Order: sequence, then C-alpha cells, then structure tokens
Amino acid sequence: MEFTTVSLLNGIVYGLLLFMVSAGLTLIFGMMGILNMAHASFYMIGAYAGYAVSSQYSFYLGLVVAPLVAGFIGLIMERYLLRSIHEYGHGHQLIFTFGFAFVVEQTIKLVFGDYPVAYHTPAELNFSAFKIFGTQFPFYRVLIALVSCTIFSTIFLLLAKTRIGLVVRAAERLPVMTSALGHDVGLVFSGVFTAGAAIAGLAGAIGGAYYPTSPTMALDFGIIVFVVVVVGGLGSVVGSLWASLLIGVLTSFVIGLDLSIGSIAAALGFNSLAQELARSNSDFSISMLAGAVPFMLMLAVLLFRPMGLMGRQ
Amino acid sequence: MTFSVRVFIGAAVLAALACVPFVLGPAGQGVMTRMLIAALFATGYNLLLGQAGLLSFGHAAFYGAGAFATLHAMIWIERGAFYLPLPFLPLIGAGAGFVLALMAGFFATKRSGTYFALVTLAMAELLHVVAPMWQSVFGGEAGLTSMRMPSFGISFDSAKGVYFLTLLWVAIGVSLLWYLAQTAFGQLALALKGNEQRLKFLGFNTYQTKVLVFAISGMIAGLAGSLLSISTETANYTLLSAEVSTQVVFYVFIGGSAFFFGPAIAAAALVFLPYQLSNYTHAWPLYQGLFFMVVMLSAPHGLGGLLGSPTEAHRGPDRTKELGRLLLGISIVGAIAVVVELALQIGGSSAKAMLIDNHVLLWVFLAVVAAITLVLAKRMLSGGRFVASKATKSSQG
Repeated sequence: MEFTTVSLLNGIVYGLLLFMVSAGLTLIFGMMGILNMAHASFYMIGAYAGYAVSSQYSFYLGLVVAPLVAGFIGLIMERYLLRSIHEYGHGHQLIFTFGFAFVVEQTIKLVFGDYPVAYHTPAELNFSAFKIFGTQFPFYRVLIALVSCTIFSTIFLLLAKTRIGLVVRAAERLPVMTSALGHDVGLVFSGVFTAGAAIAGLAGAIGGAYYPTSPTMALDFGIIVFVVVVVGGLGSVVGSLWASLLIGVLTSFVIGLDLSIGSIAAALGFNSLAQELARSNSDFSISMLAGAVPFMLMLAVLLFRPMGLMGRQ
Repeated sequence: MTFSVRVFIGAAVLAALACVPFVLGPAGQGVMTRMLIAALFATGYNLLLGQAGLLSFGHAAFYGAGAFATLHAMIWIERGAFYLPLPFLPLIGAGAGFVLALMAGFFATKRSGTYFALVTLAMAELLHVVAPMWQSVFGGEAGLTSMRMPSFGISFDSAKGVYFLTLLWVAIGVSLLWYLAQTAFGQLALALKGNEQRLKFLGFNTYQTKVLVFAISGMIAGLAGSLLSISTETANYTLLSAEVSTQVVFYVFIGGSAFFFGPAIAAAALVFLPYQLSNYTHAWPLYQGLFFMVVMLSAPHGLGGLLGSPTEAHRGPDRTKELGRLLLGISIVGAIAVVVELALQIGGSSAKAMLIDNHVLLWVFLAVVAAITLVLAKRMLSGGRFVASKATKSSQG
C-alpha cells in the first residue's frame, strides 16, 4: 500500500513536469507539424534564465523572466529562421533545430560552465505539504503539479472555448482557407511557437530549481518529449497529459519494483532459465529498465495505434 | 561523363587513398580510417534517404549491431571456437546489420513520413537503453573488447593494416551502392520517393521494396560498424546512441542527398575537422551547430546541391545565390568564432565568473547574442513571407 501510494504520487508529479515540458511541443510539433528537436533546449534556456535572475534578484522574478527569454528566442527562431526552411520538410527542420540545440548547449557551457549550477528553490517554499507513511511530501512538488494543471487548463480552455483557439485550430487544419478568410496565418504560427517555447521556459524555471540544472538537461528530455507528444496523439493536449501521466507513473513503478528478470522467470516456473541467467551473469533488475518504458510505449503506440491515445485519424 | 571516365576517376581516387599511409603517420592513418568508415555509413544511409526518401532516426542500431556481431566473432576466434580470416569479418557485421534491419524494416516501413522516423528512433533507443544492462550480449556498460588476430601472414597490428582493410571494404561497399543505384531496383527506389501511389498502380510491391532498401542500408551501416570495431577492437553501448543516428543524418543533409558522393565527403570532413580543431578550441560544437544552421538556411540541398544535381531541377542562378548566402553565413559564423575565442583568451574562466556575478554584463551578453541573431536572420532572409500552401504541404508529409 505504501509503495503503491508513494510511487503513484511521485509518478504523477514527474508526469506533470513532463507535461509542462512537452505541452509546448504538442502545439509546435503536434499541431503545426514543425519538427523542433530543440524544444528541450527552451526548457534549459528557461532553467538557466531562472537561475541567472534568481541569483541576482529573486526566484519569483526568474519565473517571470524565464518564459519571456525562452519565448523571445523562440519567436526569433520561428519568424526569421525556421519559416524560410519550412517548405523543405522535416529533415531540414531536424538538422536546423539540432544545430540550434548544439548552439544553446555550448553557449550555456561557455557562460555557466560544464557542471550543474546551484539553482535551488527559495527557502520559504521548502516545507512539507503533508506527511504520508512517515515521510514528508515536499510542498514544492505539489506546486509543480499545480502549475502544470494550471498550464493544462489554460491551454485546453484557450483552444476549445475561445475565438483565438478557433482561429489557431483552423490555421492548423486549413491554412489556405483560414488566410483567405482574412486571418494572418503567419502570425498564428509565430504566436503558437512563441507560446510553446515560453511554456517550456516556465517549466525550466520551475523544474530546474527542483531537479538538477546542468548543460545536459536538454539532452535528457530531448527525445522523451517527442514520446509524450506521439503517445498522446499529435496535436491533442488532453492526450499529452494522459501520456505524460502514464509515462511518469509507469516509470515510477518500474523503478520501485524489487524484481529481477531471473526471479520473474523462477516465479513463472522457468527454473532452468533463471539458473542460466544467474550463471551467465546476465540477470538484471527490472528497475534498470525504467529508461526503456517510454520507448516501449511509443513503439507499441506507433505500431498498433498510430494516431496516439487521443489523436485524430 | 561517360562510364570509362567515371571508372578512371574512381580508380584515381582509390589510388590516392591507397597512398595515404605512406604520407601520414599512424595517428593520421587512424583519422583517415574513421573518415572512410563515416563516409561508407553516410553513403549507405543515403540509399534510404536520398533514393527512397525514408528518413530514419535509428541507424545507430544497425551500426552497433555490426560492431557487436564482429566483436563477438573476434572473441570466438580468439578462444579458438571457430575460424574466419580477419579480412572477412566485416561480412559478419554486414550480415548482422542486414538481418536486424530486415526485422526492423518489416515493422517500420508499415508507417511513413514522421511516423516511420519515430518508429526507427524508438527501436534504436530501446536497444540503447537495454544494452548497458545486458551483460552477455553487449558486455554491460564497459562493452566488449578483443584482439585482431593475424591472418594470411599479415599481422594487422598496425594502423596501416587496418587502414588498408577499411579502404578495401569501403571501396567494395561504395561500389555496391553505386552499382545498385544504376540497376532497375535503384530506379524503383528512386521512384518510391517520387510517387509511391503511382508505383502501386503500376503493380509494384512498394512495401517489399521499402523493406529491402531499408535492409540494404542497414547492411552497409553494419559493415561500417564492423570496420569501426575492428579498428578500435572494442564496442560498447554508446555506439547505439541517438547521437550516432543523428550524426549520419547530418552527414547526408550537409553533403546533399541528391549528389552520390556528397554525404561521403561531408562525413569525412565532419570527422576530420573536430580532430584537427579540438587542439585549438573546445567550443567546436558551437561553431558546428551554427554551421549546420547556416547550411540549412542558405543551401537547402546541401553542399553537394551547390555543385548541381542530376535528379532535381535546380537552376544556375539559384546556385550562385545559394553559394553567396552560404559564404556570407560562414563568414558570420567565423566572426562569432573570433569573438568567442577572444573572449575566452582574455577572460578565461574568470570571464565566465564575471558574466554571472555581474548581472549587467550578463544582460549585455544576452543583448549582443540577440542582436547578432537578428542581423544574421535578416541577412540570411531572402523572402521570409509566409506562404500558407507550403506549410500545408510539408505538415502533411
């Protein structure tokens, strides 16, 4: 019971952070079809901007500045650079955004150094929200979850209930028709890209304070954000939320499981296999496979349900 | 160019490459070996991307499969479990790449476009995550190590022997790919990129063709991986990383996929430059990233596209314009490089400390970066006006 509850809580918090990072990509890649491999770089830009501001002024100002910086860089990138290669398709976008990711990583290494920086949560937020099975559950984790939920409801309501959302969805489905009706489709694309980058920046400022802020953080999230978008279904914000939660909870349970391949084989009655595994030194714990969970999920989704959990056909 | 002229040029290049060990030292030969392997990997990958138009993010899997299979064979030979002369070992790597790619292609080619790319990515990443845990097959985190055994009276203990072995197999692999492009099968692959729907109407089995093209390009990747593991005598799970998969995509896009030798030349250059420049600067990846961005913005058909391509209608004035923009872009990257290097020389590590501790400097730095980006962007831009129909076309692709 304790294991289930704690794993579930940790998984949900991690999943919600994952959603914050990948929500922007759902808009950028899922809706607009721009293959932005540098999305996690905006997360890193946000974290370092948050660190730079919080080390001089305050943590809360960092939370405001980080999305602005990430959004501004995103705006320039989309408006002046990415757009001119749009017509060549995904391969070119891949190379271009990968190049950009290199540039971001190296610039951060040159300015802030190769090692993690001391970006911490402010002291007044370091208290426990509640006590569960004798362990304190930090308030900051609850805060991450709350912010993520706020971001989700904002995007969802904006897209589903407002006129802006209507135009954005129209521009994504039928750009020519939308522009013929007098809407500036280019502006919509810039706006969505900027918003996506800004959300990733905010996620960086919030998440970076709790998890390590280092030049490799973009690399760690780089591919998994694509997994979230694909598993959830291209362009579906609700799907992304479910996918993030699924990945978070599954990963958290797999990490916590005290099982090895050999013990499972023995439990299922394959004793000779278990002995063979032990003998050849190839037995390993299930928890070491935690990193494989997202990719197995993505493979299963792509092969059996390519439109994703909540995507359209 | 007639056939005989092409054969003559090919023979001349091969002869020049064969002379390399007599000019360069062992270190130079080692770099040359790496360059040849990367060139083979890129050319094989381009069969898939340039001809069949399939963008794979997972070729590290086949590259790694070739390397690990070869290393297992080397270990068995060392133990005396079976015997195969060293020069034939790359066949095992190629076979492993082929079989794995055949299996992967069976599933992956059921999807197209971005979904295809993501399936291949997921497969390769799965292997990459599992490999460090799987002691008996991948040797865990440390990987596998073995020794090159002498065969045919050649000891293969020097860089020179390895270089000639690599050159031989790279020549075989590249010739095979060149020949394949000329055959009816090669034309079929090219047509696949053009219009798959029409091919189906003509009665061709496009699925089968795609699987086979995928498997052959996996085979070449396996051959390249095998040659790498023979030269380094090791293989570990980093060979399977997404970094390797994307590296080969870079080679092809920078070199230009429409030009047969473009990817090979780009691969050789992109392996050579870091070796040379890492002695002088540790900010090389920064310039490399900027260079990639510049090439994609100024010469979308890659550097090979500047030379003109036989397959795509690509007019002369366009090329001149592209070349002009590329040169401008490269000089901007050069200017940035000079500024960065000067800053590192003057300030060193204290410059970093200064930038962080003194927040005014931080903002000045950010403003300069933003200004440079803006200037670069404006300059590079020929016509940035948004054309909606273009966006639809590629978003559906």
